[in-house]
Amino acid sequence: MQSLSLDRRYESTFMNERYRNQTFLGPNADHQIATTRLGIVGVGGGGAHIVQQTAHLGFQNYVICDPDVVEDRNLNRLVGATVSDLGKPKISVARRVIKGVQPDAIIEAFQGRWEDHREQLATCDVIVGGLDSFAARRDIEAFTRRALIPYIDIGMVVKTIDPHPPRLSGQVVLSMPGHLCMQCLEFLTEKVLAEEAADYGDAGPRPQVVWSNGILASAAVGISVDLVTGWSKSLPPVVYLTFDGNKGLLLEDRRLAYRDITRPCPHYPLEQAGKPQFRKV
Amino acid sequence: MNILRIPSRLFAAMEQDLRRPHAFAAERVGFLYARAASTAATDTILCAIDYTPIPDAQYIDDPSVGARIDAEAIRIAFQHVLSKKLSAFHVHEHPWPGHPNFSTIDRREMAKVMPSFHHLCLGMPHGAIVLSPESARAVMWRPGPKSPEPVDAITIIGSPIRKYLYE
Repeated sequence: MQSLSLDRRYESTFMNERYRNQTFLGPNADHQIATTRLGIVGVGGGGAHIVQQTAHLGFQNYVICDPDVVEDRNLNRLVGATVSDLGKPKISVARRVIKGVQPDAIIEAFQGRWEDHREQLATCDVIVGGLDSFAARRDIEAFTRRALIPYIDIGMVVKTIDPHPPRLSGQVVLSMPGHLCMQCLEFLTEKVLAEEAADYGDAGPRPQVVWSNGILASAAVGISVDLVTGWSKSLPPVVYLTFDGNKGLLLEDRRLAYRDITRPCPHYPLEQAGKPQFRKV
Repeated sequence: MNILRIPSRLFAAMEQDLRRPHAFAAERVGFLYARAASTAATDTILCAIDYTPIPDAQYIDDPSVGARIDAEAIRIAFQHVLSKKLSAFHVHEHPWPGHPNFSTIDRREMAKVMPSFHHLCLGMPHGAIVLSPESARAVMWRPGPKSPEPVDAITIIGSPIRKYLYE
C-alpha cells in the first residue's frame, strides 16, 4: 500500500532549494507534485521524455508500463538510454533516470502490457500515454474514463506521399472524464481504426525522431503540472493540440473552436464509470 | 489505499445543494453514490456517479442535531443502493474553514445505519463525507468490521485536479 502522506524529507531546505526556480507554480506546488501518483504507459520515444522531465519537476510516485527492451534502433530517440542498455527492459532505463534525480521515488514498473496492470494503473491520479496505435489509445481512454482518471495522449506520425516531402505531425490530447473524449474530438474515428486494422501486419518500423517526441512530451508534462497545481488558472478541461512538424508549430486544433467543450461526452457517460457490471434484464 | 473520485461537475452540484438554507435544519444532507473501479486487496477505488439531495419535506425538526432526515429519505437511499448496486455516502458540510471532522453524533448515527446498507449491497463499502469550504474528509465502513476506515484521498476530477488527503 502506497502512502500518500508527504514524506517529511521533502520539507528539507535542500529540496526546497532545488525547486526555487519553479515557485511560480504556487506555494503548494511542490507538495501537490510530490503527492501525485503518475502513470506512464509506454516509455519509448515519447514516454522517455516524460519520465525525465517529471523526475526533474519533483514527481515522486510512478506506475510505469512498457513491454519492450532497448534495441539499437531505439537509441536515436530513447532519452536516458545508452549502448549498455541494449537488451534491457525500457522500464529499467526509466527507473534509473527517475532514481538518479529522485532517489526516494516510489516506482512500480512493469515490463508488460498496461492491460495486465490495470489494478495498479487505476490508483493513478493522472496517466500519460505514448502508445503506438489508435486501437491502443481507444482502449486506454476507455479504461481511464471508467476509472475517472485524466488521460494525456501524445503521438507522432510521418506520412510520405510521393513526390512531396514527408509530412511530420502529431498530437497532444487531454481526455478529462466527463468532458469531450478523443472520439468527440474526431481524433479517434471508426475510419482510422478500420484503416489501422486493415494495415495490421504491413506496418514496418514507425518513423520517430527525438525532437518531435520532445516537443509533444514537453507539452504533455506542462499539461500534467497544470492539472496538478492549477498554476495557470486557465487550463481548460479539453486540450487538443496539433503538431505541424514541418513548420515546428504546436497549436490548438482548429476544429476545437467549433466545439462546445462544456458539453458532456456522450461516449462515456458518467453512470458507466466504475467496473463494468452485468445487469439482469 | 482507499480513494474516492468525484467529477468536478458533480461535486459542484453537491456543494451548491448543501449550501442552500433550510427552514429549520442547520445543515443540509444528501447522498453521493459511487461505483467501484477497483477492489484489489490493498486498494479500493470508488467513482462517484450520482448525487441526490434530500427534499426539504424529508427533514425532521430536531434542534439537538444539525440535520435529521426521516425514514422515507433513508428508504430512497436504500432503494438506490439496492437497485443499482452502488456505494452510498452520506454527505454534509460544515460551513467553517479548515479541515472538516466528523462529530461524535455523526459517527454514532452513521454506525447505526451502515449495517442496513451492507445488508442491501453485500461487498460494497458505504460511508460518509463531510465537507468544509476548502476541504473534504470521508470514512467508509466495509461489511463486517464495526470501525470505519479513512478514505485516504478524495480527488475532485477536473481542471485542475483537487486532492484532499486524509490527515
